[in-house]
Amino acid sequence: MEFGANDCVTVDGIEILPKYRHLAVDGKLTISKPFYQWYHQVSGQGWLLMPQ
Amino acid sequence: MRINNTGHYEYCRWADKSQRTHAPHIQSVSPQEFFQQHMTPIRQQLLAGDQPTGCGECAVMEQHHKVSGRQKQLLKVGVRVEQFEKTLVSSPWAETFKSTQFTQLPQDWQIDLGNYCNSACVFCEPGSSSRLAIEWKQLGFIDQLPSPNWTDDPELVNKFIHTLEQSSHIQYLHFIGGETLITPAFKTILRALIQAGLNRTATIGFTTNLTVWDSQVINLLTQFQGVNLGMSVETFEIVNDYVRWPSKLPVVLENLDRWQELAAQQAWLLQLRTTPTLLTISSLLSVYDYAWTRKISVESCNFLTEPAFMRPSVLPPSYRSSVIYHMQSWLDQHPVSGNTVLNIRDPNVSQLQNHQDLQSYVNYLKNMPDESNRLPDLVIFLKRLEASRGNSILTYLPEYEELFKSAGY
Repeated sequence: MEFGANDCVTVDGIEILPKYRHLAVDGKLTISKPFYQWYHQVSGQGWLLMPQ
Repeated sequence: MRINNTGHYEYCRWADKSQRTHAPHIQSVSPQEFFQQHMTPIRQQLLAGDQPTGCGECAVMEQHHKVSGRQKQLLKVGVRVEQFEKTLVSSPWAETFKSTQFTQLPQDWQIDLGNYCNSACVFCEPGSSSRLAIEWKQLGFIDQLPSPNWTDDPELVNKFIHTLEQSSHIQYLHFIGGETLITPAFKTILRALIQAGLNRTATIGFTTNLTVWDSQVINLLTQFQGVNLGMSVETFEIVNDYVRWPSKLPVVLENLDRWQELAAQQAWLLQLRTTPTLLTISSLLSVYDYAWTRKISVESCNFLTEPAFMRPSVLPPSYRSSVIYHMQSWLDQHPVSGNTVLNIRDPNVSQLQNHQDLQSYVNYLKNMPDESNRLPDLVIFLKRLEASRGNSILTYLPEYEELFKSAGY
């Protein structure tokens, strides 16, 4: 998913932009992994264990 | 995954005591085999949307808006209860959980080291305190001492260590006792983890009763990537001495200061661990007040279910109203708001987390049915214990004299 940094975006009622505008690069916020994995990390939810 | 004090595996550290599995044992089944084979039916059951019978205590916690064990554990695999289906699909574990050929090794352990303990807390049980076990046997509460600790057998400890050595991706090992600091296997396992180089990536968690200090263990702990330290205290009122007998509050406070100083130097994460009962619920606020100014989080495993006569819900409504009033007043005087804090290991939101956790006790006291019919059982139990200990609850809780006397004290 890719959004313009100046867009207003919510996903499932969760504010994405402008809240995470500081993560945008070259005017675009790119979410390159499953949304909730990305949100887990950017919202400070701690460890995300990964299968090995 | 959990290994309990007697060496039996359990699929969840949070499962209801009455519904926990008591087999198999590390003697006959390796940790890998239990995790990969024995736990597969539970995973399938959960994926099918069924609620195992052992999940009842977490359901009660969520009913009162207390963050439950299942919420905390699910978070570690990226699953959130309020968006269960979507977060499960998004979880890095979605396909792995579905597979019947599960080849993963545990990355997150609770290791119960045994019941070696120098304390005999009134709400505890012999399987978790050797001191209490001896006292209960002398008092005739039990006929036999509990089964031996699995960590008393060096072969079993070595077998367990061998599994850890093969688990290069271990994230977290949480140790409890008994009292961890006086349990020999704690040092043995920490040394083995360091020897295997796992200290560079693993975080150690453990709980201490704040009555002992061991420089050797501390030296080992400083070699780990992270340490989460749980410090047990019920209240900063003198009744803590009665409940966590025979600890003394000045010693507890002294050790609390020492751990905080060390944690600040080492960047360790601190928590205050409580087990609120009828005897301490009225002064529980002192713990949250202490934690607020120091930005330390407070955690309790669940709302106490056993012993049933010590549940906070045994307090009659007429006594609860004062506790609720003081808790609510404190919450109103310490305003903080935000989304529900699930990640209780984030010190940046400890005040919000504590605010929400204390609110769950207000909810519990307001909504739990009156169980004051259990008061006579409590009084009988305390009187027998006090005959052994030479103390009296009325010294510590004079405000409950009328209540206890009405129940036969």
